[in-house]
Amino acid sequence: MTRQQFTASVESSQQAFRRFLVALCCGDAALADDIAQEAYIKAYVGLDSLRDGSRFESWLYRIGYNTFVSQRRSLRPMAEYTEALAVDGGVDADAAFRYESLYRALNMLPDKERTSVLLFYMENYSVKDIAEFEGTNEGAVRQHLSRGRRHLQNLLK
Amino acid sequence: MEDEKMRQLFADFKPALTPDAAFMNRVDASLRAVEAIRRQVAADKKRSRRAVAFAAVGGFAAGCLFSPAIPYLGRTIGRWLRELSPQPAITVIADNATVLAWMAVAGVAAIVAVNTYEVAMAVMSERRRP
Repeated sequence: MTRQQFTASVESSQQAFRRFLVALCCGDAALADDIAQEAYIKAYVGLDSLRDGSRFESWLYRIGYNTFVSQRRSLRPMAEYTEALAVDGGVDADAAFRYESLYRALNMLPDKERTSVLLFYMENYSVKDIAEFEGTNEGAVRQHLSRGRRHLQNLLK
Repeated sequence: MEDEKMRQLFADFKPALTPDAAFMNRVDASLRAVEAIRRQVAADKKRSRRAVAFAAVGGFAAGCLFSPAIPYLGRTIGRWLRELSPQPAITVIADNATVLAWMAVAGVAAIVAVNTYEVAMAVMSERRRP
């Protein structure tokens, strides 16, 4: 894949990918952008390891998820979600506050539950794919989904 | 039913993102930087391979140049060791002084090879500078 082809793939996938990352980062659009950038660079550097070009997007999401996990390890916890909203406010404060309750609810979920819920309900990935992303088994993902759904519904009531 | 509600919740989720053009410019700049680094790494590898070839030639040439001196060097070292001490251990070493001479020549060849590598790398780096 040449740089031009890769850029075209980025252009077609970036909005959905960034939307997913914003949700994963509980509204911190700046952090989501940084993770997206890093994931795209890692993907470009590791393009040779992608055997099936048709699986580019799921491969990218896996890189994005792994980047998010490593960022979480190096950064402070996202408990201060209000700060994240303040950052997002720079882009569009109204939109940030519109999703305040969703971000707060997502922030209360453990990482794996949040990721499973977002990949399954937002990005329509299968349980099998999600298990692959998270390096776990399908039963664990089903459990994350069931718990995450229940938690979200309770938190959003 | 619950699944549908959840899907609807995220279908309506349209957060404000930084402008696409700004994001793509940043990605593009990063990809260009990656390309530049790759080119640099490839050039460095090529340079290093050439320097290794020069070093091998330099080391071989030094070995060829100093090899004729090995018999003379062996005799000299042996004589010097015998004069140094009559102990049996020293005498054994003195009898095999040619081995020491070979080692000395090999050492000189290795030093020449290392220096040739360093000089070749420095010269090629100098040439690459604009």
